[in-house]
Amino acid sequence: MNQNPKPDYFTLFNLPRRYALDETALGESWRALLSRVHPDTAALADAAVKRQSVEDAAYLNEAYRVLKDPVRRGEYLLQCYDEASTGSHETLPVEFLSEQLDMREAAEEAWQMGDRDRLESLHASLTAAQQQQQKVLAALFVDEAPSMEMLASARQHVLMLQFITRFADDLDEKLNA
Amino acid sequence: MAYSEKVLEHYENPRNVGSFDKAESDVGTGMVGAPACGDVMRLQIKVGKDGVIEDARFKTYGCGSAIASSSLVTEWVKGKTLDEAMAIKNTQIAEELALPPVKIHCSILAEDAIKAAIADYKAKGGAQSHAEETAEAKVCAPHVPTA
Repeated sequence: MNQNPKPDYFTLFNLPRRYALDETALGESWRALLSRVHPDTAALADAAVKRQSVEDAAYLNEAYRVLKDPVRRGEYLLQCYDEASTGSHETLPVEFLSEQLDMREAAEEAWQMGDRDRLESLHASLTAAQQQQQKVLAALFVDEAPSMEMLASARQHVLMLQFITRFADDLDEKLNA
Repeated sequence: MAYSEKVLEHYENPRNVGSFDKAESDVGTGMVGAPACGDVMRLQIKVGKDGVIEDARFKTYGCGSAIASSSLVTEWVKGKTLDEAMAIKNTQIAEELALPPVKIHCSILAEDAIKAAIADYKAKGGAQSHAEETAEAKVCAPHVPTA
């Protein structure tokens, strides 16, 4: 068993600890590391080495998935700075929630009327909203540690991004059904 | 995970779906959401001059348990005073609907929604007939909801 503490995901891929992500660098780094620990390359080794390589590959893949996902990357950064998001029991700005409810209502109506154009335009505004949230997060999580205020704000924006993403995924499913 | 009979019943025949004009002074609006599941809930109360909740409306986008929880709460708050409505606990909602542990957060959301609606109503000055109003008016402290 490996008793050494595992490096954080950013250090693992030799990436700066910020929200804005160089996806190409992440992908390249992931592939390079994986080729070294991939269980297949340890096929001839003894059982302990094999098990270790399976574990390492799993850790690498999880790290890759987390950093690649805009919501999970945000949550991970919050965690890095000891501000774990506490899950479902969180308050969001009333204006934001009202807007989301209105859009849900509009989507439901469009769906019932079979108005595909309307659904696609709603999906487009959700995509724009996702990008906007990501932009804000990129400005909050830069190289140096964020202040308490910035962390509190980041937590809200991660939650909003999560909310919007959930809705966008639902619409995606409907549009591709 | 199968829904209980009561959840299905509320899900298929939700009570009090709709909205009141949130600008009206006798209306309190509570908006809450759960980012992880994308649920969003709006719960509104209409309060009489005697401080009793006359009517309630809700609109919820979410799973069956979230819809059933808000539907149930709109039924429960009618005829209650604000203080009585404040005392509604998520555990009572969860028990009534026989919610499984993974759905408890839906009942918490409904409890938050009713508390938020009451706080909104009070913040609007809807509780003007109450004695505390004069005392509050003299203190220039920021408004802190007691919810």
